[in-house]
Amino acid sequence: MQSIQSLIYDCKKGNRQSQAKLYALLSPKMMVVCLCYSRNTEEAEESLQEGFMRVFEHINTFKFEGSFEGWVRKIMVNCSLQKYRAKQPMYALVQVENEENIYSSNETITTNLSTKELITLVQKLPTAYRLVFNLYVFENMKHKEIAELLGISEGTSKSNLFDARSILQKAITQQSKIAKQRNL
Amino acid sequence: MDENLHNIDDLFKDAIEPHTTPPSAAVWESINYKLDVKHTEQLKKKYNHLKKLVALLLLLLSSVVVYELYKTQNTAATIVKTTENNKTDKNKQITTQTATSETEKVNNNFTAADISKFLDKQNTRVTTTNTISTSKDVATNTDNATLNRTITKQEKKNTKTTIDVEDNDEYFAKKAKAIKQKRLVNVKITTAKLYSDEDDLTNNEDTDPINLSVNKFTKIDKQTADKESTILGLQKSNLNDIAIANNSKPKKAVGNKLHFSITPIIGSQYSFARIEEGEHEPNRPRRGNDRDEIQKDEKHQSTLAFGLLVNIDLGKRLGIQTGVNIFRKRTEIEPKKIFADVDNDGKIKYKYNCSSGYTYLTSKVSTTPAVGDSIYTSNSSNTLSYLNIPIAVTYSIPIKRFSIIPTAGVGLNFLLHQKIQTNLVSGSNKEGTVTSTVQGLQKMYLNGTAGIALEYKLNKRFSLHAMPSASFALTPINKNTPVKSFYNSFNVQAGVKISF
Repeated sequence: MQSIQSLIYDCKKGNRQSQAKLYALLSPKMMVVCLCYSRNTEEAEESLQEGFMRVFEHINTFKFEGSFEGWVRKIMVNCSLQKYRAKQPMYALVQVENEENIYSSNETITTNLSTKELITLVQKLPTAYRLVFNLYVFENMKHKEIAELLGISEGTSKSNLFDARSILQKAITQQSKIAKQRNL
Repeated sequence: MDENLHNIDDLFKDAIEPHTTPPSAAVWESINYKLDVKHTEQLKKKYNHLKKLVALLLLLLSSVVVYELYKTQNTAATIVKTTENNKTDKNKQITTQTATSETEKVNNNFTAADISKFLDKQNTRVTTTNTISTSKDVATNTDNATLNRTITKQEKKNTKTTIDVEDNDEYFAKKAKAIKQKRLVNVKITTAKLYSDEDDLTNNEDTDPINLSVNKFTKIDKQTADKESTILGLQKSNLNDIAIANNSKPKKAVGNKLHFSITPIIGSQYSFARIEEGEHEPNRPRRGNDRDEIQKDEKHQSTLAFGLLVNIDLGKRLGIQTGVNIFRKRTEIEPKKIFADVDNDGKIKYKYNCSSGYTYLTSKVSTTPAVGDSIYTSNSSNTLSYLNIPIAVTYSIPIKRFSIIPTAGVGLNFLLHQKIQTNLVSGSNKEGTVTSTVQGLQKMYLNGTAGIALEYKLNKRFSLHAMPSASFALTPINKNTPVKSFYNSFNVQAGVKISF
């Protein structure tokens, strides 16, 4: 099997077969990234398409410094963010009700909820919360970085993250209850 | 609570990060298609440079051809001669002209001394302003250049000579008769000089200025004469020209002056577009870019065109026409619904499609749209200005003072200016006129043209010119757009032709 390095070299030459192979290799992972940042599958596929176009256009700028997958992921995140950046307000939009947790460990929840359901929960978050939550949790970014990237204050970023978590917690609780009832 | 919230982070991270979801097959198809388009664009860019270079070379080549034709004509430097006909003395008048006829060539070679001697003997009065050098001159001038070709048009016009002869002996009479009968006398000029008007030789105000001095005549046989490159052709009585012609192609060179004419024109243009399917992304809904809808919504307006035509006569009837025209194409577009799409910078804007191309518009009132959102526009207009350089062949059919001139050729049309003006309608309110540029337009397109010009000759210099013509696009005016437009038009133009 062709190594990813040789695939990249061939893609730099504009070889369509290698581009297809690279796409086949990375697209399932990148699709999940795009799904987390988008409201639905259609939007995620649009971001994925745009992201891969950018990857193939700018692959010559990749100098093999660091992970290629990380580089592609960054492009996907940027493409997804571009749709929302500086257009939609990034402050709290919904009233979050705090609720006590009824679960004790992650294992319990994951057994009750599928990954697809978890992704759907993230997608259902308001855009401002979703972006901050994704950047903080999946991209390991600090609030300062998130604030700069999204053009919001650090406080807003923190507040959005807190609200996002609360919404997710509430949603998980409800979903978990339903799942438990089903299992019973 | 906080701990639980952090657990949420880990819960999502651990569950989602290793997860994979294959996207639908349509995504790769779309990427593949876009890559193809990009690749084609790159190739087109490469070939566009080549096309431009070829067009430039063609223009240069045609210029060189025209220049060479002009130069060839002038190489046969035409020297006009006028005759002073002394009717009271019943002198015979001999004038010379540029034409040569190989079929009627009579090679007669004689020296200046011979002529002088002969003229003295026959009591011939030379009233010419021309100077035919005597043997003294021959000695001093034999080293002079064979022919000074740098004469100006003015010099050519003013170069005149007349030879009057009183009585003829048998020999000269025979020559005169031969000349009268339009026969040719070819004389090889081994040494000749052309003097300018300012030269001392032309100071005689009573006569026409003299610019030609033949210093020496040499007898040569016919065969040699035919091979010589420079021949002085002498012909018949009633013609007024004398020429030193390049004898390699005497028939073509002699008697044909290169004529130019310019025609300032103004006219009206009635446009209509042929719209063909352009490039569409597969698996994407065709919203607002349907060919039939675009064609139905657009009405082309008649516009004004003006310019300057240059006609170069290649022969008695054949000619080349070039010049420069400036014209506008204006299209009125009816109100329609447009849809939001991702623009070239990744932003979501309303995409306005028309036959020329597309543009992205932002609503001042409504919030940022999502892909697929729609908005209405009121009446819009699209204006394109072009500079046209035609290259056409003309064939003139003279009928008394009129001339009918069928014309056919091609034209290069360079985009000078373009804009689209529209109004977005939010609810029932217009947001105000938005002017933006059309994307996807080609900088240049090629068209073919055919027409029949009608000219009425007012005098030697001025003619009235009118021409209905049809213009049809050979290449589309746009590229990488949902529809390809070929602009055709019917033109009527009129002007005044000034001949030189």
